[in-house]
Amino acid sequence: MDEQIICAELRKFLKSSILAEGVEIEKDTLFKDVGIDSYSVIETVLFIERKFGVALPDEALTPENLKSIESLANCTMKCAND
Amino acid sequence: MSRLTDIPNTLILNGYDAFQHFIGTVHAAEKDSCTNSRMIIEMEGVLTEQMIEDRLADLEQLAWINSYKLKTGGLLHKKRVEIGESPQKINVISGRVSEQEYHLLHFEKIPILSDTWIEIDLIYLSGERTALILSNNHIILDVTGMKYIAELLCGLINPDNIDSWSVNRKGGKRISPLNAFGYLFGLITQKVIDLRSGRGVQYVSGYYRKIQFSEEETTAIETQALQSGAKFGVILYYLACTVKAVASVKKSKKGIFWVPVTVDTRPKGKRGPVLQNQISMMFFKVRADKVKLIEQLVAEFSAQMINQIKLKIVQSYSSLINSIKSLPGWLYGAMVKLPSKGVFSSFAFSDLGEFSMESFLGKKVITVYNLPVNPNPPGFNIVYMKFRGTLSVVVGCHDTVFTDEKFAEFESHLKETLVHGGE
Repeated sequence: MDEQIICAELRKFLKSSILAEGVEIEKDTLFKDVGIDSYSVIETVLFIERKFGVALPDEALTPENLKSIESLANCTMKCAND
Repeated sequence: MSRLTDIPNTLILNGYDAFQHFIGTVHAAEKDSCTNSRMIIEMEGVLTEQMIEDRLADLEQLAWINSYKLKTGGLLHKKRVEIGESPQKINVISGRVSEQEYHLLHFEKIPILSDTWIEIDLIYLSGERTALILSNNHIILDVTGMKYIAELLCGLINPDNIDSWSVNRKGGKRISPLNAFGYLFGLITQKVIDLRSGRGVQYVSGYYRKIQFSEEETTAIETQALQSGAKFGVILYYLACTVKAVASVKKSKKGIFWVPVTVDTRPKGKRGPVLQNQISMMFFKVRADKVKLIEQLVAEFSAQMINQIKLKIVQSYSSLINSIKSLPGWLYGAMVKLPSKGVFSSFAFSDLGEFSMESFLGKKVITVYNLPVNPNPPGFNIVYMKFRGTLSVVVGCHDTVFTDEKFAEFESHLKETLVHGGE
């Protein structure tokens, strides 16, 4: 698994399922800056579980890890390798 | 005034039929009350009826999406509502508010907006201030839609940049109406506590109370939220503190607190539709004997939130609302009465997040807050909102739910728990 691939998939998911049409998001965009709320963050975490087979443990679900595509992808990689 | 029938019939209005039926048949026939939610915008200066009329004339969205009614000084449709010694109580006499502080608004049988979707009331306060009160039927317009209406009115949103109606959520697996009904009936068979003192109370009076926190207190609350382990934002911390405060003053006979929480499922990142067919809820429940540490409650609610999203319950609820439109009238009428038996929830909770509005049609905004919809039951609804960095909590409460003393106790518990994390 590659972090760049996770970033790309997360971006694709957010654009197709969470964000309004035409809203751009980059890997370092803060979720709160594009209106992604707690409900959508959980949907994204569940997407990671479905897509990559990585269930993020409770201790990984920190505000720091859940703030952007990049931080979430990084956290996913760490959890996958543990 | 625009009427519901002005809505173009070429539009796909999935769910609209249900709303129209709801208002046109069930509520109007039963003269049910207390189903309006309100946003209050208090500003410096005098806002005239003509200024609002002129603005409304420019807004095509409001002309056809919403049937509206504009009134001056007639908030409660009553000549006199309540006389109280507390400075927070108000007198509404001939439509005029005589007290400057009106954080505690008493109501008595708030009229259903049977022929309008939105009502705009202008209340003139002393010291050249105006309170503009937007009222809407909560079944039709959720709190975010209400916020958009306010922003449309004051010109913060370009009307061309906002959708008027949304039928389908992006992504989201479709849930069959059968499953959705199954879920609903699963819910209503649950035994939950009933906060009302008596069953079958159909029309009761009640009040709203605003609890305002300072900037320092708001910062302290958000710090506590982070320390409580709330992973997905402050909302679950607010919810946990509220449940704890309720539990501290209201004992549960059946042993379970059941709390519906509103969910905004609009696509994120832009202005979404004013009206949508995805008005949805999540449902949290906790046993009264588990209401101990805030951290435990937050963890419990986090798990329930994840579980509900995983099980697509939010979509189920939306599907249920949409599927209602195809029901025969008698069955629909029976269904809307089911929750009114008081089996559904202990209290209702909303968090509107942050709101910012500097001026309204050129008048400097002093404050904005929402009054929660206050249906009966549960007759005890709570809404959180941040405005200019300060948190406000408004509680809508039927007289039968709490005595004044109990309410003061609840307020004190809630403040203490939010600021200090329940320690």
